Amino acid sequence: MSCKHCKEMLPLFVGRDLDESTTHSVAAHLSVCSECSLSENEYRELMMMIGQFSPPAFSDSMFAGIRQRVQRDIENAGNAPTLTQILADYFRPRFGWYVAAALLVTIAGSAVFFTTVRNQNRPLIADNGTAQSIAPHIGQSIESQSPEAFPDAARPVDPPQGKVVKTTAGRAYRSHRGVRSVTAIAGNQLAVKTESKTTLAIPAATNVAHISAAAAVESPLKMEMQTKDPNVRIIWFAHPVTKQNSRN
Amino acid sequence: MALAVEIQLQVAATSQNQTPLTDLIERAASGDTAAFEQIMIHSQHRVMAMTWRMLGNEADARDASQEVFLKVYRYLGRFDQNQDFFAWLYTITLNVCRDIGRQRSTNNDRFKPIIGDVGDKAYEIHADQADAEQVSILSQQREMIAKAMAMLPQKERAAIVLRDVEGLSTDEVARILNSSSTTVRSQISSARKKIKIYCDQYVKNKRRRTTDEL
Repeated sequence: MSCKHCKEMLPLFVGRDLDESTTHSVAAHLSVCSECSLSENEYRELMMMIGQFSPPAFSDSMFAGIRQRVQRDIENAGNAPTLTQILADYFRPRFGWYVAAALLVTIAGSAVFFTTVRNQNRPLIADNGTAQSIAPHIGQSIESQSPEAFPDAARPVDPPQGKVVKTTAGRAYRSHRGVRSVTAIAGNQLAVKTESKTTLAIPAATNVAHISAAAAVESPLKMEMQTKDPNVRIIWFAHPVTKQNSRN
Repeated sequence: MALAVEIQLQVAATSQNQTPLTDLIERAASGDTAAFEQIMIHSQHRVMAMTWRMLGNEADARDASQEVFLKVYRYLGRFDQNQDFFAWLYTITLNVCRDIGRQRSTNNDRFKPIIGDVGDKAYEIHADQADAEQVSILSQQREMIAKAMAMLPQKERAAIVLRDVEGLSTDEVARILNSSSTTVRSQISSARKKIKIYCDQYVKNKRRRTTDEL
């Protein structure tokens, strides 16, 4: 073993941190090399000094102070609120408001939803102007159609007043925008035209449609629809509004 | 003879009154602060010495020790009873010292010199055992080693403190430092060399200054 290699190994040799074979090699070299042996002694002295590198004697009062502070911190930590408690405290005062807001939103949403659905399912109802104009057209329709033209008619209904329109086509026309005029076309269909020309044709499940329109302007418009089921008939009334009333 | 018997009886009584550390740990982990107080008393000297050796001054060592005990209390529930408690304690201590050392290095405040304000206190204890000259030599040696240790990188410093001062084996040091034995050996070897070089230089400078004064 060379002196250079030995000096490399000395720091670990003096601390007995080398494996057995290397320790033997270094010891063999040290027994014959005075310079390396001197270096070994210096390292041993150094190791002794490092071993004596002890802290000053700390007082008992200092240790007691540390323990006291630790215990106090532990107590404070024990009293400190947990994350759950912090979150609960943060949200509790606002919880009522959150519930109220959620209820409000739910009610408003429901109202909008049901209104929309009701508008979509609303049957065709003529307003005052329509009521005024429907009667002569209905009359024309009746006159132009014979009773034999309606073989599917389950049960003709005598209207209390006004005229009855019968149709086998069973088609009704609905509009979301409101009805402005109703005319009888092609003998067995009712066409409802809207102002915006967005007429929507929806086949109704009826075999016979009875429309009873008041001849007079003030009398309500009665409309009846007979479904395929002879026991089910849909009747509704539309209150006509006169132009004078609408102006008021 | 009677005195010897009395001493033996007192020792037996003391050992019976002493609760085993494992029992104290279990109780402390379940929230018994009195048991934790006993653990602190049991380990305070080791922790304080270690923090002082790593940080270099009493004030920082005191703060670090307090932090170490708080962490010990917080994580005592996770401690494995099959593990060596003091090895676990050293790991926590070194981590706390590393954090404080990192804060200090970010604040551009390097290790303070260990000797100076508190260094001479240690020798007051030995003053009655040795003459004034001996005390002076020891004081100089102590100052030299302290300064040399302060020059070391933190990992090497931790390794040499655990190995050469605390007397732990290389494998134990490796376990505490979460490193391999080979790495620890390399760190220890490097640290010893650096300390030796520093001490040689220190002695040379001292001699030169003495010669100049003469």
